[in-house]
Amino acid sequence: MTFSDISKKMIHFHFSKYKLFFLCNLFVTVLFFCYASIFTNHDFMDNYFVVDSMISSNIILPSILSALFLVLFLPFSYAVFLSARKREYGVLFCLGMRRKEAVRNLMLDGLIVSGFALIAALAIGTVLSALFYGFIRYGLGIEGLKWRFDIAPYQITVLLYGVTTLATILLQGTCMYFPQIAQLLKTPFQAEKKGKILCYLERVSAWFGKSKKIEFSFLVRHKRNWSIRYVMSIFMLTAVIVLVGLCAGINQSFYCDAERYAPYDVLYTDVFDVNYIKEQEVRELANSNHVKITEYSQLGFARDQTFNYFPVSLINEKFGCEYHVNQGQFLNLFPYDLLDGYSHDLTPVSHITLENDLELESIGSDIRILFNQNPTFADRYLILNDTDFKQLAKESTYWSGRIYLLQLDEWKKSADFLKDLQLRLQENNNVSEQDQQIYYAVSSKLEKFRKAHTSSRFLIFVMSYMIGLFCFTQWVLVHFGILAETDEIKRSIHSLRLLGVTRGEVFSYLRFKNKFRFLPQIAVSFLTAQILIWILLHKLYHLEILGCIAGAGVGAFIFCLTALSIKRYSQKEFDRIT
Amino acid sequence: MYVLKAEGLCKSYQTSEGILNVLDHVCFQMKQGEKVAVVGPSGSGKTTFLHALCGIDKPDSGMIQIKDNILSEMSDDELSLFRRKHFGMIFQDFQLLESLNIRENILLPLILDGRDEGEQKRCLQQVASAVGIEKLLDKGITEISGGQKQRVAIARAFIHQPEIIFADEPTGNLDCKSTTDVINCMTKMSENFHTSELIVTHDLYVASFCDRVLLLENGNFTGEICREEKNFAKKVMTLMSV
Ligand SMILES: Nc1ncnc2c1ncn2[C@@H]1O[C@H](COP(=O)(O)OP(=O)(O)OP(=O)(O)O)[C@@H](O)[C@H]1O
Ligand SMILES: [Mg+2]
Repeated sequence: MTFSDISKKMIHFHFSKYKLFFLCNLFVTVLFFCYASIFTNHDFMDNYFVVDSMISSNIILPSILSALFLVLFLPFSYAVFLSARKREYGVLFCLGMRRKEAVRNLMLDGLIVSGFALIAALAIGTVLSALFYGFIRYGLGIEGLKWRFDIAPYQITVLLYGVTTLATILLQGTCMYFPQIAQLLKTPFQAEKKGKILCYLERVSAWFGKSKKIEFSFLVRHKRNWSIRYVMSIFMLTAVIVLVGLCAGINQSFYCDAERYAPYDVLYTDVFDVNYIKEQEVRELANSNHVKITEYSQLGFARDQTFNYFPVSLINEKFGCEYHVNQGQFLNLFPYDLLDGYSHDLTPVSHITLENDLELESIGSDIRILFNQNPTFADRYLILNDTDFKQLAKESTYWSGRIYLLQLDEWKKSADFLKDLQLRLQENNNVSEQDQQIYYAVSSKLEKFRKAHTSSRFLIFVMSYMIGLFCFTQWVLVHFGILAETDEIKRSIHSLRLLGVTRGEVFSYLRFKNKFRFLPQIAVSFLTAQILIWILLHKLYHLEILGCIAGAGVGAFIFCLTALSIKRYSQKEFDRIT
Repeated sequence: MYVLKAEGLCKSYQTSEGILNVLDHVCFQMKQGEKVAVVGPSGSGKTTFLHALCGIDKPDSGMIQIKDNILSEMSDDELSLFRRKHFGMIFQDFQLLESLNIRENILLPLILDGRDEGEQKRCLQQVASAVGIEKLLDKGITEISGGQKQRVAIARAFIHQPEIIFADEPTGNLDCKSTTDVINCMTKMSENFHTSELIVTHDLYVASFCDRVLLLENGNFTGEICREEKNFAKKVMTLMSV
């Protein structure tokens, strides 16, 4: 018999610990990989036509969290893995094994298991992310987002995982070098002092008339490991609840934005008489599609590459504004709502020179949405004095056009009307459907709401995916923690049974212990998350109450679900132990 | 010539009631082939003393010399190799590995030393029959009794025929008959291979087989009786009833 035979037997004996280590690594890595495959996908992150920038910017936070989680969790799972084997190596040291042999063995073990975990994680992650994109495409019907093989998420995952694992194994593997052998021999039996929190809890529970000395003795074990676990699980649950709150807020803001950015039910423009259609024709189209036009008006404008120009008197008259712009002056108008949650460039232009060498000075700026957005408009809006505007409109280098603003009796029923109108315009213009969409599309409230609806479904799916991953990981974290101490609990329970404790009592001890293992972090996260949601949503959208209610709902749901399943969970543990 | 020598050995623990001086400037020597028993009340520091001598726990201060080597001047590797070749250890709580069966547990010192199969087989045969566990060899650690575990621990300590045996309560879990067997075995070993033995014990019978009995109390040796003295057995009895 050689030492390698012995090593094999030891690995066989500790297989469950290897499995635990493997699974822990697998989970955190899959979690991270899933995010990596989203945030490295340019279609997803930079394509504002398909994915609302609000959604892509909300991927960043959980991605960072999952990376942080990986970096924190790997050393932790390795430490648990090692601590299970310290006494064994202590004995081998007594019998004359050299420390460097032990360290080499342990590092090799760790590296091999970590390597397999990485390969498995990449495989599972690939499948999960393919499912993710598959669902977006076929479940939500959002075109333009495809899963395709991309090396970047693999590179990032391998890099982060590799660096963390190597650093962990190198640093912690040497933990066998330094402690006294006597210390290692005592490892599994070392008593830990109770922390302040536990003492306090004990006193509180004694105050309620029942002393729970034995129950608390189960909780004192591995205090350090558990406090790390608690912190991480609070971290994740808080992320979950905050995400739910944010999701609710953002979701609502999609609809609010649709309302704000579409003051008119229908808007289209003509430029140099292209895209022109007679009023009579529009009204007939409306009638034939069973909608009534309650308001029909138009507004002249001019534009060049960067600016839309509007005459001040028309704007004042039509939208009830009170702008005063003298000759030689202009006003910057930003057609945004600052509570929409997006960031906008609000730096005003101070000085422009028109084609006819007319110099204009800015008199300031205003932020206000007057009418819907449309592809015919340039990015910036300037309001000029009427005289200046007239002069400018005469210049052939500026495109002059008209905006048609329509209100309907029931915009929700305007789908057919809009389609017909679009089609008629396209026929008049004699362009392809694509060009019509790019240059002369009709803007409408209906379309805005439809887009909001798609974005909302998309957001809910993406967030649920992330929330699911986080919830699952935090459960795994606690569950594996409990599994890891099965042997010890078994011994204590056995001793207690010998002292005359009944099976029923043992079960109640386990239930009590599991309550403390699962529930406190949910309660803490619940409170922390409420504060975070309030701060984030208040700043971005003023939708904090909705967010808090949603967060509270989900927090309460997780709490109740966990509380209810503890009995079954404890029953399973009980069966495993006895 | 001393195989083992300790001077001014100190070890203290920080406890909630203050500093506990378990070993307080302890001095000790042991000759080649000598058998020394250390007795003393529970908690007097016998295990601590033993662990310090064989280098698995570090004393706060003091010098330990094993053969010609000063312990604190040896590297960890040297000490490991030294333990592998020359030490046999029996722990109070046995320290057997649950992941291995009894045969493998006993063979560990030879395996670590890279000895071949034939030698492993021969040595195993010899010690197993000496302590009477031939029939148990393929069982797991959890399947045997306390006394049987003790015998496995003894077999593991003797299998590589070490020069020094450190034994912490080697007969604590054995009945009279087994105790006699173990003592006979240990005596035979020390005669055959000139093994030196340092034995911590509560057992009068075991102590009376030793060449010297030391009483450890309040951090130091407070009594010593040699076999050459008159009324050795009687004096040991009085010493141990303290
Ligand atoms: N890690 C430790 N921390 C604090 N005190 C310790 C520690 N280890 C041992 N002690 C204390 O040191 C004293 C000596 O312990 P030791 O195990 O050497 O006693 P012993 O003589 O072997 O007792 P026994 O005969 O019961 O085995 C005891 O009082 C014990 O409480
Ligand atoms: Mg002892």
